[in-house]
Amino acid sequence: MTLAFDLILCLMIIGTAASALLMRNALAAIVFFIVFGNLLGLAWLAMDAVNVAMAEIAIGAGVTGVLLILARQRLMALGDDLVCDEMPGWLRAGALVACAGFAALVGAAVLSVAPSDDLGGPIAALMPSLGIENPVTGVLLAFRAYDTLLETFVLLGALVAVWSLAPGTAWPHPPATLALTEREGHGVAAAFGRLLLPLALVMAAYLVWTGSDLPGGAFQAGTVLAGGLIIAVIGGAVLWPRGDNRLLRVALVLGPAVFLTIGLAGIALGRFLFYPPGFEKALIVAIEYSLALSIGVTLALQLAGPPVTPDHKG
Amino acid sequence: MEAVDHFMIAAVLLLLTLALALFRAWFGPRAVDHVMAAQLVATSGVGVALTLGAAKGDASMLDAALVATVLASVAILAFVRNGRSDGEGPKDKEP
Repeated sequence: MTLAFDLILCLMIIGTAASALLMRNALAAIVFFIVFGNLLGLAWLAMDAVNVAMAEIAIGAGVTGVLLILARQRLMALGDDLVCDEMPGWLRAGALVACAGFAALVGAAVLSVAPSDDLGGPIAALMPSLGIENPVTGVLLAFRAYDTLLETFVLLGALVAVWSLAPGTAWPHPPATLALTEREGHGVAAAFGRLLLPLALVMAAYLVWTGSDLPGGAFQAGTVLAGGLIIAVIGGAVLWPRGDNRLLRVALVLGPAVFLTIGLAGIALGRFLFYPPGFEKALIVAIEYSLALSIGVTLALQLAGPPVTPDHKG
Repeated sequence: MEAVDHFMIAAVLLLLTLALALFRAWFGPRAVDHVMAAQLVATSGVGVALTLGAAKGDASMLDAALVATVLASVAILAFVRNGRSDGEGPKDKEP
């Protein structure tokens, strides 16, 4: 039965990926992209990679889907008819060759990893010294903490890039509101936003905490928080802050700043990003909670787009 | 072992019903039909994640299902928030 499940899922993943590419209707293509992300999450679950499944469902299907839907609405508001022109044959052939080559490279890379190269063993041997049990969190926050630290700065840099797209007159006004434009649905959206934001907060806190020992972690938690914020903004329960809001800026840099401070403090004890023995779990959880907050706020503001002048409509 | 197999069968059946939603996602014809198909897939996906978690005896898959539940609702709200801009394409007209 497991084989049947895997085969059906594989067929559906390939089918939805092809549909997302071939669909002429932009909205249907976005829908297939979201479906593809959800199915890919299920595939990771079927392979027992729950950490990856959560990230794929949250970021791949959830937030990226919302980003595409909002981008479509902005393009339509600008008068774009969202019809893609016929591509010349050489471009199609070139894309096919490039993609096939890339797929072959990835395939070769995956097949070159022998089962004996499994890093699970060495990492499992090191985990007891950290006081946490989730090996993915161990790799992200301890063994490869340098990568994660840089990633958090990339996320912050991306928001700065989005903000820098604002016209000179718009800064530091808030981004365009996402509040519902139709009056009829407003009560539903407002109530839903007020209900879901606290729920998302609790869930984000839970995901960080459980992430020490079980699948979960700061990135998944931050994405759930961003989802809750977006819903609250659409419902009108929360307004986008101005770019020079002090509280907002603290929330944005808190995660990277805490991570960097703890990392630099490690130098005094030996080397960069060294956690003093006995305090590993406390420091990792502290970093993860501040990261989750910063990631959530940063992702939500990236979806919001650049600041606009106050008289802007839509 | 018996119960585990039942959960796996349930997961396969749920996956097949999920496949039916893809017809709506492809054909539409209204904009709202496409988006509701995505919601149907997300809801069934939560079901598949839950049955898969039961079949494998892995409780953390419930957390993955929870994440999917919260974030699926964001997409639909983002879609309906702008009443004017949706369903303007020639194939998207209300019948």
